Amino acid sequence: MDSSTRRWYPASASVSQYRDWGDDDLIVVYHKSSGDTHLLEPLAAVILEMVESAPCTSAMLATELHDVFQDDDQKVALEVIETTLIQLRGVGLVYNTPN
Amino acid sequence: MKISEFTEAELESRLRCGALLLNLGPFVARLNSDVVSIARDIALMYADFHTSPENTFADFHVKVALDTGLRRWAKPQVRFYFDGRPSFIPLPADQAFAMLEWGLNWCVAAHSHQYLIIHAAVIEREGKAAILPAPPGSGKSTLCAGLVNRGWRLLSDELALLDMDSDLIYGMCRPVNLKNVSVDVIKQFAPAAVFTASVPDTTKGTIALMRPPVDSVQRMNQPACPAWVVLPKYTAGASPQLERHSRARTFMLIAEQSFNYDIQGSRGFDAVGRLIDQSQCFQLTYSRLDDAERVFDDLLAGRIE
Repeated sequence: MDSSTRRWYPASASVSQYRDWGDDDLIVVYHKSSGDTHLLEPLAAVILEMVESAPCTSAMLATELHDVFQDDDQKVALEVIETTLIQLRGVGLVYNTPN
Repeated sequence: MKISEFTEAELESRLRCGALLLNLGPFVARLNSDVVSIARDIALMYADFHTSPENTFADFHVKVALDTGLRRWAKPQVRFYFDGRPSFIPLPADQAFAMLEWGLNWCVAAHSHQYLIIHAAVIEREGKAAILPAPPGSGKSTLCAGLVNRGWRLLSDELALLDMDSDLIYGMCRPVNLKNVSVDVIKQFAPAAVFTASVPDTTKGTIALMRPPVDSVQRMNQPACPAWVVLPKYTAGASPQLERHSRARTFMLIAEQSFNYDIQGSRGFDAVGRLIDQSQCFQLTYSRLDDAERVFDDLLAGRIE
């Protein structure tokens, strides 16, 4: 099964809180159910927000984020998104179903 | 009644029966000790502080007492008690006052969750507070001690108490704990400053405490509005350099340097967020206190945007 079709879910039902001051490319995220605070790059924060709004696949995210990756081909975009999702999973913010 | 209005014998007597209630801004500490040197150091360091009557509510009941037994005659040790329970490993008796100070810090940091407690020095001038959060070794206390001898008000050299309702910072204006070469640095920078005797061989090296300026003590109940978060970085021989510091990274540093951020939940996240919203964030590299003083004067005068 293609990994781009596996579905990603938020780790909790509650929506994370975000803080962004625009003086660099970093966003502070508070994950309410764990009580953890994370420092994320903007792409990771956007992906987290999208997964929290509705479970989705990396292919769906690549379509939504078309503008971000317009200079890259679809394969590169999917790799970046999946790497980011795996990192978010590593810190307990999202999880996925097996292929 | 102020500490300076007691004779040393009266202080000793009150300490022996646990009847010395020291006002520390937001808190009252009931002190009990049979260590004579503690009475002397309290008289020296807390001269300008007020006490409360014996029947006043005290937030913290603490005791520093000599260990009993034969050891008392060879290498005497003191032990810190909180609410009657021994709380730390004993220390050599010459570290009794330092133990009281460290123990009081622990009392506040471990129990005062009405505040977000940040491991930081806080100084204020013209109503604007500079928060200096930093890990040990960054020169935070040295910088704080220097600046409070040049017109800045001391709120704390160790614990910033952020009131999460008003977003104001409270302090306790307690003695400033200086280590190793910093003691002589401040003695040269501020010859009129008053110190305890230096105590060698503590876990932090040689330490001495500096008496807080009298004006700071008189205003200890006045909170201050955060205006700057400055991360000090002492670098030997360095020219002064004040650089903007990422607000997101500063947020994370404040959270890491907080003793109770984790237990405050989203309220703590929101409070630190507002603190960062209203503060300019910098990293200050410095090697000379005169240089650092000029940088802070420039900040206050709005010459640095």
